[in-house]
Amino acid sequence: MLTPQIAPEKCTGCGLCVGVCQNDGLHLVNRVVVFIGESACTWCGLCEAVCAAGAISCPFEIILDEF
Amino acid sequence: MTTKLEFLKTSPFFDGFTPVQLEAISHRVFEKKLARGEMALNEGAYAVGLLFVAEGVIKLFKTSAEGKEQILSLMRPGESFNDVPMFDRGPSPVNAQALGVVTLYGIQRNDLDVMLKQYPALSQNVIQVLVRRIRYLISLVEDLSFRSVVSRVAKILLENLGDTAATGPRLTQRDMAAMAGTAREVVSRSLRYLEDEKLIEMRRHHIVIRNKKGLEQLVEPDF
Repeated sequence: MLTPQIAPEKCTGCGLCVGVCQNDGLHLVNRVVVFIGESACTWCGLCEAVCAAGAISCPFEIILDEF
Repeated sequence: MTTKLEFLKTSPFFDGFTPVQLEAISHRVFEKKLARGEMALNEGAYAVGLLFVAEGVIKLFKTSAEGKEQILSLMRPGESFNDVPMFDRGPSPVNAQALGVVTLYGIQRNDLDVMLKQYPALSQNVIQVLVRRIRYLISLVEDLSFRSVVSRVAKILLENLGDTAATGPRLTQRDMAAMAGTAREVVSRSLRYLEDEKLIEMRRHHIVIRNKKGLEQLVEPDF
């Protein structure tokens, strides 16, 4: 399962991403954010949007599938 | 979460204030807790005071006539989000909603009026805060006025199209914003526009190009 990508070395432990995740998918462990795998991440990107440190990202692959 | 005094020390509104002044002001700061989804402000309403995010994230948004939500910005701890209506005494131009558990600090309008008279430095700081906001808004207006961001985002999508589902480069909305020279919020809005036009489809992990020719027609020839 693909999960939001976390760069622990950039994480400041501010916890903003934990607060905005509507699926309770992120937790702080020892002041660093970790993804809790069993949650159903919807890839909404809010965690990426609120992270001022750029420590968490939800990348997209661009593919072609025309009508 | 920072205490009221610690918060004031780091706020650009109170830059240069002495510890004694900050201590006095901290007694005039009120606190308000919001649950996830709770509204901090409704568009058109009048706020009781200047509001700052102390903890959590506030989403500023407007709702279009069709009922679509347009996120203007996300306000993080330390940022104020209703200073314009507070100073022009008009209604709030935006909705403000808590994205998770949020703590707000606020200063009542009457207290703010007294402080502005009592501390001339506060007026100077307010000007600095508002000027920074004007500069940010001017850059957003540039991006939003000229349709070129949609064109740039369309070009980025075409240039980064993978051959198969497994080989394409992976781009975040932040990456696309850096590549297009704009804010992440503008990229998000551009992607939504392209999806509304049925040129792309946003899926979990994938941006699917559904009409490549239509996307190509959007790319400005000189970009």
